[in-house]
Amino acid sequence: MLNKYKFSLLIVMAGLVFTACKKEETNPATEKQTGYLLYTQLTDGSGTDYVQYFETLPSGTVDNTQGKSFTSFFSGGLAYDNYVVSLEVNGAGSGMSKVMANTGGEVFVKGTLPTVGSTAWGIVRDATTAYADDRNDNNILIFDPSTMQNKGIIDMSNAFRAPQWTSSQFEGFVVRGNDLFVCTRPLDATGSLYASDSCIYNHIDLVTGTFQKSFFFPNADLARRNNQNWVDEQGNVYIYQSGKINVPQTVKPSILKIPAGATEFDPNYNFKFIDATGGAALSLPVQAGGGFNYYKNGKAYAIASTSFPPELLAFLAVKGTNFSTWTPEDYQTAFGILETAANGQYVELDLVAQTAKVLTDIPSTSPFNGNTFIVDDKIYCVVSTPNENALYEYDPATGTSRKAFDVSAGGTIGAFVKLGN
Amino acid sequence: MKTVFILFYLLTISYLSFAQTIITGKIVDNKQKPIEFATVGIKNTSWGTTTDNQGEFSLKATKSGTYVLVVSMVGFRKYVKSIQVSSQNTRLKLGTIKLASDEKQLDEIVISEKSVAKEIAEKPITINTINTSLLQAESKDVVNLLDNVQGVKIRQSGGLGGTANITLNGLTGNAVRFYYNGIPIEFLGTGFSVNNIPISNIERVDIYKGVMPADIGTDALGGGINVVTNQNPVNNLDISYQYGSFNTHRIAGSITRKFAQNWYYNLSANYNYSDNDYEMNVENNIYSPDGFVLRRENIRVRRFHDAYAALLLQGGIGYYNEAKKLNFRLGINATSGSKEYQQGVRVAAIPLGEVLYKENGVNLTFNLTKSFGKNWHITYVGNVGFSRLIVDDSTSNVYDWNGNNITAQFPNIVRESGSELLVRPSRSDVYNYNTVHRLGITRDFQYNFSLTLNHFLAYQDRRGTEELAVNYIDGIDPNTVGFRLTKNITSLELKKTLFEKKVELLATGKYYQYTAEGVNVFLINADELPTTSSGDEFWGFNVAGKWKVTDKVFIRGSFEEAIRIPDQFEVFGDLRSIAPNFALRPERSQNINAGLNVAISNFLTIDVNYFLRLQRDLVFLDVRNTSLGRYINRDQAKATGFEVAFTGEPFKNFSYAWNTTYQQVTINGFEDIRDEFLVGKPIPNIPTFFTNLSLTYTIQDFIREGNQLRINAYGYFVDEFSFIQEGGQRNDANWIPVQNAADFGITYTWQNKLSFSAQLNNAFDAELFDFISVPKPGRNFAVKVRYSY
Repeated sequence: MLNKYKFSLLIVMAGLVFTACKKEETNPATEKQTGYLLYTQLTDGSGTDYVQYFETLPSGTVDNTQGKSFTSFFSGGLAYDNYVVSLEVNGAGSGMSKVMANTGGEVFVKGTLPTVGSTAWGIVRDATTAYADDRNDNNILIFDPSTMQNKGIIDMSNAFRAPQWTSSQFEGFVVRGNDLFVCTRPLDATGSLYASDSCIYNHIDLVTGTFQKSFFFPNADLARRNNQNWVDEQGNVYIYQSGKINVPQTVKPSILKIPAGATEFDPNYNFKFIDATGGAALSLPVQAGGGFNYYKNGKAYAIASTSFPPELLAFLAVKGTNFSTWTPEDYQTAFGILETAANGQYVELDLVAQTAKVLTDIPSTSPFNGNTFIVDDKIYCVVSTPNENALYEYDPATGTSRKAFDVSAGGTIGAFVKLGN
Repeated sequence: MKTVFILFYLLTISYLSFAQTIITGKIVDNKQKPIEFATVGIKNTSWGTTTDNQGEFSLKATKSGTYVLVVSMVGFRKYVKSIQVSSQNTRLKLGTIKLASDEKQLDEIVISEKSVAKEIAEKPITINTINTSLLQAESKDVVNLLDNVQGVKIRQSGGLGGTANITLNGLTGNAVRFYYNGIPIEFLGTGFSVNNIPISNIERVDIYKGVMPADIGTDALGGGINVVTNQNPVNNLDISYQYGSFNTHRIAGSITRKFAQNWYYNLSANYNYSDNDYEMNVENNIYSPDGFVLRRENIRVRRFHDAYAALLLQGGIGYYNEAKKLNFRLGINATSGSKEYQQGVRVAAIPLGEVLYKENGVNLTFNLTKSFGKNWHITYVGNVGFSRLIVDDSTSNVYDWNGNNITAQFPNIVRESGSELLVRPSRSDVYNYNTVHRLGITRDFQYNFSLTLNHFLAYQDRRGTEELAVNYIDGIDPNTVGFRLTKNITSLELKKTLFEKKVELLATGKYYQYTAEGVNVFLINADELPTTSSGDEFWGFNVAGKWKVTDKVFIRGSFEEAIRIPDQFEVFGDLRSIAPNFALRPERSQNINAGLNVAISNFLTIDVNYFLRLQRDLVFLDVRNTSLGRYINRDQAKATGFEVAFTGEPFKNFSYAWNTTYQQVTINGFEDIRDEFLVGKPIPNIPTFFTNLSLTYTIQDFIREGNQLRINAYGYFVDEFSFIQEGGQRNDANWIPVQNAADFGITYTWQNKLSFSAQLNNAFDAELFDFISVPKPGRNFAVKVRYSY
């Protein structure tokens, strides 16, 4: 009897060991046509990104960890209609994911565009045509976002390449009518993304689907991000070039212009908008900006470094400003301060008059994680500091700002998108 | 009357004049190693004794006659022999008697009471010990053995030779140190890894949890694993060959011979090779002639670029004198190997097809133990060596999952980075020069009190060339400047036993000091390649205690303030995609262990352990802000859990071992207040629940006396765990699924010398993943033949 008991117990133990549990799979239903998506990114280095759907405009305090987590959602995703096309979200290393929300409010991946490289840059032209960089300076992909299938390529083998480059990519996509403009982002042997001393753009004729030419703006740098909002009502294209992050700064951030009907830069238009804010911005050793979005009637919004971080002031007081005497550790310390200092403010830009007005109602934040989103005809601005993680709303009609909502959990705000725009 | 007296006198004389016969002999095991404390007796008499540390015995027989000599020792089969005691002989020499092993079960602590392994396992420090001598006939390797220990989880990327990540009580990566005969493995060169240490050379593997002893420990945050090789000075020959699935070959041979008096030499060679061409399901790109991806298809393929080869040659000459309490050995080892890689962190739609790592190395090691009198003991181990690592990751070619190079067919499909595995192309040739020295001095005092002073010194110099270097200064490759690291760790350990050794107490103070020096690549406007030094010093300590409540029950507990010094890559970067951080602080942890061991009966022994790790300044690779990543001190973490092991022999010849580990590793604090909401959430990518079961049935005298058949079954279960933080809505793509697998094995041993074994792994062909999206081999087999004498 005892032996049978012992044997039975062992069989039970073995059964527990060898029995697998299987989780139920969830199936997305039909998609939401309207609503909002909020993307936040953890700052713990784990690579966790959260995306959450909201039926109505969020308010109060938002816990974005209630959404779905992904390995590699991209803040610069291509927002169009009721979806966002992002870098492949589950860490596959290649492809693009079409992210939507289903009628249950669950975020899901509708389809994946197969690509060779890790693809993040592109633009959606219409419901069935979009363009993307495939980490390949020989071509640009043409794909159908409704099916997430590739349709063909645009041959870019005649685009400009400098001999010292090891490779290049295309970003800063802009569509204006039948013109596609893309920025060349070269890499040199050091791996630097900022390997060019000019802003290099390429013109593609979308009627013929062929590359036309490369054109340049000297003493400028890359255009970053995916640019759904860089074309004004007249057809002028405004390009934000990010400047160089070096000391002394050899190229400041600025706005460039491709005039309506033209396919070249206006050589006389180089709007140094950070300088235009005046004050301390004029004497900053490194100017930084970003989040450039064209609104309407010649108005645009961005973030600009406008003040001296107190910590940097203290450091300069000790080290002085003769940068040739600085050690590598001095540079590392200075950049470390600049990376995190909340010395950026949101600005309203008049692209015609080339003036800048600081939106003083919105708290300062680091220009490296600042961003703007145009939703419901208002400007949403990211404020992320040790004391606050929130989205502020600026209403150009009234010229007033308010806090839209706080994000209590989920990390730094990366993107805020309205579905069904 | 007189006749009676004379008869009585004669009888008395004859009785007295028989006096006694001294019966002597020596008891050894199958490797000729002396067995201490074996019981030797004459059946149905009171004549008996135990063997000394030379395995020798001497007992007195006071009456002539035919007797039965019985020799017994736990872990060995009883020896019985008929002997004749005669009054004509005052001495009866029985010579050397060899005891046959009574082999029991895989896993856990399974050998005799007084063995070294059991002694270690009952120390105040929480240790699990695997005695490999009983397992060497099977087709197992070190990774398999470690993965069966409670609290330990080995995760491998791919098949044989794949990157192995050890999790010990919730801590993983650099927090767990690996030692080879007490030498940290990172100082033995790139050729030494957990994958290529031959099991036939290993005497035991000690797994230290939380607290490391002074004579082994360095700067380990969560514990360490020490592989102890067999260096016994006894004549021995051991040869084995194993063949398995995926064209896997393992050849091992070793010989030890005594010569002159007290001298011995040993030689060993070990070669492992595998194609690792197991099948798996992948997504494969289908391209259009214009050079873009038309679609992806799910196909089942064989891995084609994952071969592994490793050669380890060892030799040594030693001197062993028990009487003089002197033992020293000079050894040399050489390694050579290569490894292909089929994927990076994940299996992607485009496989790797050309990246290759090659290594060579040589080490010279000297060990010395010497006792002076009864109270002074000195141990020394020193190692000097160098290794060379050649990396070639420099192709722009693109492969498909059928193993085809498609670059010529689709010239528009290129690898933009010019490399497959690394962020930037590399054709590097790097040398590591290492030297390690550890000196321990122990003084035993009265009243069961001892003091040990131990000093550990390590120096590592890494430099080489990178043909495709990122030249920060024209013409000067920063790799030629390289890095240097020096570590000094001094420990003072006090041991005290009380109440007839029922209570053991241990306290250790530790002093850590390190200096790192290397090229500083964070350069702007510099005219030369400057080097930078960083370093610091710290204090740590630990305390431990054990109480043997009864012969069958003991409890123990320990506490340690542990420190891990950042390694060179973390401080100086990798000269490719990771920038330096000279302000990086060491990781710290407060470790608590508490355990209970109860031997209820032959049917059941229970071992329960609780652990707590409060960690701070954990080092993370931050890749968010710039094009270069950088290691930073980020988190505080708390790891807590318990592990339970049940072992026993419920029926004759049938034994089992079952262990279960439950652990939670959570975020305990953050430097950036914006991440405070993460406090209490689990740190992802760490298994939380796993259990192992092994069952063994042994048939003695199978087919013929002295032959043995053993049948084993092993079961493994790992609950699912998430690769990243999970949100309120589940994303299945984030989860490494439940793993449930079984292995079966059979071993036939002939006369304790020749053995044949067969193993069926993952018998039910389960789809297993240790890492996200990287499958492990499906069903596979291995057969092994071994001769040992």
